[in-house]
This record gives sequence, C-alpha cells and structure tokens, in this order.
Amino acid sequence: MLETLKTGLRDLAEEPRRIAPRRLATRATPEKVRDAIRAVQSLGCRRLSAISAVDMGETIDVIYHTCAPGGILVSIRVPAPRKDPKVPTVTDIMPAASLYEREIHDLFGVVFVGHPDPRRLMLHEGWPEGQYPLRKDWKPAATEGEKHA
Amino acid sequence: MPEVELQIGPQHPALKEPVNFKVVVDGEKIVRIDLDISYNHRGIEKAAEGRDFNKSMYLLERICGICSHAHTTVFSKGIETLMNIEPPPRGKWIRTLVAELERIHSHLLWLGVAGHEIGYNTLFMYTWRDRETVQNILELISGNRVNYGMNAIGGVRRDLSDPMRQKVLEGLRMLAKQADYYLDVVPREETLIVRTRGVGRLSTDQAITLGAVGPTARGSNVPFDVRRDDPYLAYGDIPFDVITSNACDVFGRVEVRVKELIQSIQMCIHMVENLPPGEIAMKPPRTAPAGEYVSRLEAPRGELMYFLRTRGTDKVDRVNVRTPTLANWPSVVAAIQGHVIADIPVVVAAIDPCLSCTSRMTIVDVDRGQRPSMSWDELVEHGIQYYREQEGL
Repeated sequence: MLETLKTGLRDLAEEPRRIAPRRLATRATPEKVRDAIRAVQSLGCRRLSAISAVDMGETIDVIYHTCAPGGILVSIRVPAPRKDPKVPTVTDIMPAASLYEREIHDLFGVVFVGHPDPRRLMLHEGWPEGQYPLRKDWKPAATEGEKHA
Repeated sequence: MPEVELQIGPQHPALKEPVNFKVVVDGEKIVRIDLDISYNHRGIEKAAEGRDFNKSMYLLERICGICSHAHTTVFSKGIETLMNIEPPPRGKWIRTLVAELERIHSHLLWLGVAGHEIGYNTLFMYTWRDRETVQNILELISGNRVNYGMNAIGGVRRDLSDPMRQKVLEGLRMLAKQADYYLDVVPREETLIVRTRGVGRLSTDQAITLGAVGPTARGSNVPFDVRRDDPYLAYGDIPFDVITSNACDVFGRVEVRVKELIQSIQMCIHMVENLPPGEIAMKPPRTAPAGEYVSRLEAPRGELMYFLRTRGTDKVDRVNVRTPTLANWPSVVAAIQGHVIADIPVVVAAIDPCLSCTSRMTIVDVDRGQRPSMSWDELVEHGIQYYREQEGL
C-alpha cells in the first residue's frame, strides 16, 4: 500500500511514511488537499473514517483518516495557518466529511471553504461567536457562580 | 399538500443522549431530515488534556454508559502503543473477554429497544431478562454493572479465579441457548418482518460513502470489522467470522446483531475456557514519548476511533474521540428518506444511537403556525397503529 501511495500522491503530498503497523501518514497543503483526497480515494480508500484537528501553535492541523483495504489507515495531515485557517471542503468528494468538518469548525475555528451547510454542530446556540474551545490558548471565562437558595 | 416540519427531540427517555430531528414531511412521507446534536457537548476532550493518563481513563470511561469498556480499551491501547509496551497475554484476554461481554449486553439491550419501538414487547421482555445474566457476569468479574473500571494502562485490574470461571461459563451456556432461540424465532416473527423488511434502505455503496460503521454497515453487506481488519488484543487468536447481511435494511441490521450475539457468546466461552496463565498487568512508565497514534477498535455500535498525541509528559496533548454514532448519522439521514413517519422510531433505533430524547415531539404546521405536540410514546403508538391498519396485523 505504501508503494501505491508513493506513486499515487507524487506531486500532491509529501512522501508517505509508515508510523505504526497499518498506519500510514502524509502531509499536504490546503491547496492540494482535494486532489490528494481524490487520489487516495481512487487508490481504494473509499471510506473516510474521521477528521481530527490539532492545535500545533503556528498552525492548526486538520488530519483526514481514510480506510484503505487490509485494515490500513491513511492519514493526510493538512496544516492551516492559525491566523486565517482555511481549508477547502471535501464534502462533495466524500460525503461522510460533512459532520466532521462542522465539528472542527465549531471547536477550532477552521473554515471549510465551500461547505454546503456550515452551521454549528457540537456547541449550543448560545455559545459566543469566535470562541474556539479546543484551541490551546482558550480558557473558560470566569463565571460568577449563581447563588442557590 | 404543503410541507410540514416535525420536531422530534431533543429529549426522549428510551435513548441515551439528546438529539433533535427536524423532519420535513409531505403527508406521511418523509422528504428530508435535519439533525441537531448540540445538546450534549461536555468538553471531555479538553478536560482530558489537563489530566494524567490514569485520571483520563476514569473520565473517558464516562463518555458512554453502555460501551464504557470500549472507550478505555481504545485509549489504553493507544497509550500503550505510544509507550511501546504490551500488556501480558492474560491481561489482554481478560480485556477482550470484557469487551465481548459488553457487546452481548449492548446487543441484547438493542434488540429489546428495537422490539419495543415496533410494538413487539415480548422480545423486549425476553432480551432484557437475559441481559440481567450478562450484567451479573460483568458484576462478578469487575464488581460493577456499568463503568467496569477494568482497564489500566498496561493491563487489567482484576483477575478471574477458577470458581468464578465456572460461574461465568454457566451463565454463558444459558445465554447461548437463549440466543439460538432468538435466531430461530425473531426472523420468522411477522411483526418484525413487516416493520423492518425494506424499511430504512441503505445500499452497500451508500454505506461506504457515508462512512457507516458496525452493524449498520455490515447489515448493508459491507464486510468491515476492525476486529478482523485491524486485529488488536486477543482477536488474532480467537476464531470468529465477520457477519454481514445482504438485506440492506433494518432487517439486515437486526439479523447481523442477533448472529453477532451468538458469536460473541461462543467467543466468550472460548476465552474463559482457554484463558492463558500468568500476570494480568505490567507496570507502565509514567510518561509516554512524543508521538501520534490513531487507535481504533470495534465497539458494539461500530468502529470507535481515538486520535492521540503525546509530548513526552504524563498527559495527552490532544485526544480526539470519534464515536460510532457520529459516523452513522449520515446513514440515518439517507435511510429515512422516502419512508413514512411511522418508520422513524425503528430507523433511528436501528443504528443503536447513543443519545436520549424526552417523550416530546412537536408537529409544526407551517401554514397555520400551530404547534401541536406529540410524545415519543404517541409516535411509537402511531407507528404500531399505522401498520396495523395497513397490513392488518
């Protein structure tokens, strides 16, 4: 699988590496992520298992985990600059991405450009705009405890 | 006829977490369904970043009451991989045993709920009675009926003594008999056939592209099971098959779960009889080196996935939890389209969602702006009545 990925992703992403048994990882830029996802899809990764995000400080990394045959997980890591985190959506290529992208937008503030339905998913409707709780610099605001009778 | 929007949820006592569905209907027919799952974000991922591995285990165990063991297993498996350690064989087997017992209890619970939603309460009474047996076994092994607290980084916290093994085997043999009875009776029961055959259709292709997992995917003939595809713990050493059904509807999901129930019981008997001797746990290092790992396993509801990142400390830098229910929502939305209101309870229940709603459902009549209410019980009753009149049951 590693060899297939290396040829399939030649110009689209960094050289894939094996990081653990049945775990392959690579990196792509936000501009190339759609082509990279299309490429792995045509190589047999038809199912998108999840999308994770990590606050790395300078960047917020969005990681797409796709399932390849043989129980292999292929993870494509896309760093988005923290100041203006924008990544094109892949919902039209892999419909399963829709909810995961909405979740990451809620919790990390990454904008998935072109998402057909970018409403809030995880946080409730009273949550203040522009507060992204899973970023490392986010701290819960001090609340004044309500006095109970 | 004008389109009408039905609100279902966010509260409902039969399911375990709150969710809200906005169902747009044309007469009885469902045109589309929209989903709001924002009622229960508890910030567990953020909270885990501030706790060491041992404390995180207790926190993560409480993500779900039904598959609590799955959450700690996937977390400890990930942390152990990052620490580059492996629990001793007996520890692994006991972990696997509890995981399969948990699957038995979850599937029995689900069969009961599904039976109840379609007015087949006999099944509900039977399966929930048998579920007591597996809960007693779990209590015997772990001391708890839910949130077993069995896992620790590096192994498990309790051993099985020989007299205990005999008792567990007795319970499992009784369950095996009951499960065979369900396989014999359930697929032939008319109520079940009418209410599930052709209901909630999800083609194989749809199941793959929408990212369905677990019995939802296998009921649509997708042979995807993490236990076989990406073996972990003792699954490489225990004989079992991946069960699929080509029915591609709610019936297929029932069939897969009943057969998995039988298989899990056989796996448990095999594990209790062949439990390897030795230690049950090893002492893990306090910290994990910097690294990232995607840990996954087959929970009762499907593939459960944790993305873990460590930075050489005794805490995780990031833990991202992707539960099977989140992966299965798009399938519900797709499977329910074109069906009638009467089918909502069973199609939603068919993915075994981990959520809860009260008995409240509001029907919004767009033209007149009225909001008559309908409880979930009334909705279930409506479904039963609808099929009684349609099919003469």
